[in-house]
Amino acid sequence: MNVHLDVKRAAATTTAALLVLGLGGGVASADDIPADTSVVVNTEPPRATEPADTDVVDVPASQVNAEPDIPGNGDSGPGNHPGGQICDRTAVYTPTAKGKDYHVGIGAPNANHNGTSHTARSSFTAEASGTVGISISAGLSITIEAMIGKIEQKYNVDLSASLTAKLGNNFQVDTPAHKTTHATYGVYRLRSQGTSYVIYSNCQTSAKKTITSYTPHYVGWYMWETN
Amino acid sequence: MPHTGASLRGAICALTAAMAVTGCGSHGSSATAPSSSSAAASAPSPKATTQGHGLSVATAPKLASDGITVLTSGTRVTGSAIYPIPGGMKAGKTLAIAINCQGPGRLRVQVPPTGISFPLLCEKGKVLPTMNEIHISKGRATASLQFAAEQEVKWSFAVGWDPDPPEQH
Repeated sequence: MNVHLDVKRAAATTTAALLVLGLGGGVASADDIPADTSVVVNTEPPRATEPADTDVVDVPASQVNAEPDIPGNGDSGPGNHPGGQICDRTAVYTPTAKGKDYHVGIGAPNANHNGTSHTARSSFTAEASGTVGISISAGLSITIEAMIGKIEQKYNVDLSASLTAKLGNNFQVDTPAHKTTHATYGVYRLRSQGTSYVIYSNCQTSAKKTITSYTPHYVGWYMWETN
Repeated sequence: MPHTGASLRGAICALTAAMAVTGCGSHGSSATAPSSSSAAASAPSPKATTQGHGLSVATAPKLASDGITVLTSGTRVTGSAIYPIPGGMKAGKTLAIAINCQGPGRLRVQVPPTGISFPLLCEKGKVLPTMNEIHISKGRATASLQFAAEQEVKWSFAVGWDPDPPEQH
């Protein structure tokens, strides 16, 4: 994974306390519950980003309102000719595709194995805090805050420049007999793409860039299950 | 843990909610006096809970924009409330529970009869957008979303089945 998240861990060790069952062949002391209780069955951990998105980088929170450094910024742009056509210099970002949510875990996922023959309750507790911001590819010609506004408006979503997953958050779920429940706590981010460019004062435009961004959407858990 | 005393009230609320998806607040003197309702449009209260880019407890989390079919939702909920989940639990689907909460205080969420249970620590003057996704393996004919909140907590929520959860690409 090439993405480096702005994560500040409050705890250096594990992210979950397994309160009911031991890992692996640990002694089970859980409250047995009816075997027909609904349980989780996901089989894989979530991804933080698309593997193909190798060009996205994290954006410090302080840079969300920063004007981008655009070639030609402050002058009339390439190919300017006196007496030629005049345009208002405009930076453009147009959302073009809304993706799905990706989950950025704060710390490693945790697992709880139920070695008994009965469904048992698992309890996971986050033992780390972390703040997750935006990751974005190069070439955005407007501020990140403005980009968030465009995405929200086009796709009717509520996003944040950063979200913090906090220490101590707890989640309980049932683990079937002989299964392992995995849990990860963190921040869901919405992947989206757009086109960005600059219209110069001579009415020429810069090259259009496709911008891929991951913007914080929710804080929460994601649960999956293996044999 | 749920309060025993809330169970009867909750059951009554569930009946009410089954008809009108109406939240039942613990602050009311009876189950027929909900402290809040999903019918936010009828509430002329000021928009005092917005934050940043539009997050609010006056509007439900926008799950439909994520391609999630909303089963039930509510806004400006307070106290305790029970909302039946139409259709119960669907085996093989991923349940998405999105909640915007504002405190200060704690909001406990349960999904009986499953063992799903979690608290949210809601902050003063700030809307916390949360999402928990759990894949359900066994169907249940009925299920509900049960809330119990401390006094100053207010929240909105939406629940649905996520057809495209994060781990499937």
